[in-house]
Amino acid sequence: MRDTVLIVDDSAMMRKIVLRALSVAGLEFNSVLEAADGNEGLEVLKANKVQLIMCDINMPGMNGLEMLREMRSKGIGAGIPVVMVTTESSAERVREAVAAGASGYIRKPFSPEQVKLKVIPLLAA
Amino acid sequence: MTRPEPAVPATELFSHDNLLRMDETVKEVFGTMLGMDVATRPCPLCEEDCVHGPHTAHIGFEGVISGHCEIHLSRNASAAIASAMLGGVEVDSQSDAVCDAVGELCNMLAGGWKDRLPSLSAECHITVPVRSCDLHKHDPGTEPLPATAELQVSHRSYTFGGHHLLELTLARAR
Repeated sequence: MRDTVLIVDDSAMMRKIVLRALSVAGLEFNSVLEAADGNEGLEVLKANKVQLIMCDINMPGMNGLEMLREMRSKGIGAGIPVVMVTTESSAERVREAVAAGASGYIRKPFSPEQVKLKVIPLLAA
Repeated sequence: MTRPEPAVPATELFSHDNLLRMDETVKEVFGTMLGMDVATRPCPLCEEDCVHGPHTAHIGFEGVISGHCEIHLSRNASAAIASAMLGGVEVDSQSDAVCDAVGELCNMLAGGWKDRLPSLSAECHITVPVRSCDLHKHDPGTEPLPATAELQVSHRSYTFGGHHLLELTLARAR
């Protein structure tokens, strides 16, 4: 059992789906924190110790890439792996996410197996 | 004054191959995320037998094209989707989860289709989905869609879960 995961997505449904996929993939967490956009995500990160962040990109307010850039530039949540979970998966978008500091990239729709393959190496590192 | 020719003409955007890419996207999303088989419904039927259900969502395309992807589902069809997304949990058709599920479905369909089109993939962004339940909130991001006369459209129709119907419209500004 791992400690805490933060799931950032404007859709409550998608937050549940991501959590379920983690669980089906055998990745259970003692605590699950949620945020509906990048601003909320940053606030949660400042107040909590988190082991993994699963983050949507396309959100109203502060989007996932903006949140990631803010985290990396201000040292918020330094060292925490951030996996972007998003519908857009062109090489351009993936490059943009990696340049912003993403540790992994999962395209929606995804299976629990895909989540497992991306997330386990990050938690083991 | 004549308008400049769009970067991606409608004939190319809504070509047979590109519409088949939407069919592939629908099958992938339903298969991977919902565990459901989906079948394409003949198009003449979708014109005369539209559901135009209470649950709709649309998502904009911005960049090399200006347009949107819109979906319509009946109440029961939306509840079936929400339930499948949550792994089979029973979902009240009036709940927020249903509206949210329709928005996410639209998001995955629009994003998946766009990424399958080389002419759009890197040159076009999608907006945040607007759901039917958002339209009363008077948020600037929830503007109603442009009038059909201002759009070039293409309709697709699908059945899933045995009897449920999904109607999908791709539209591009003229």
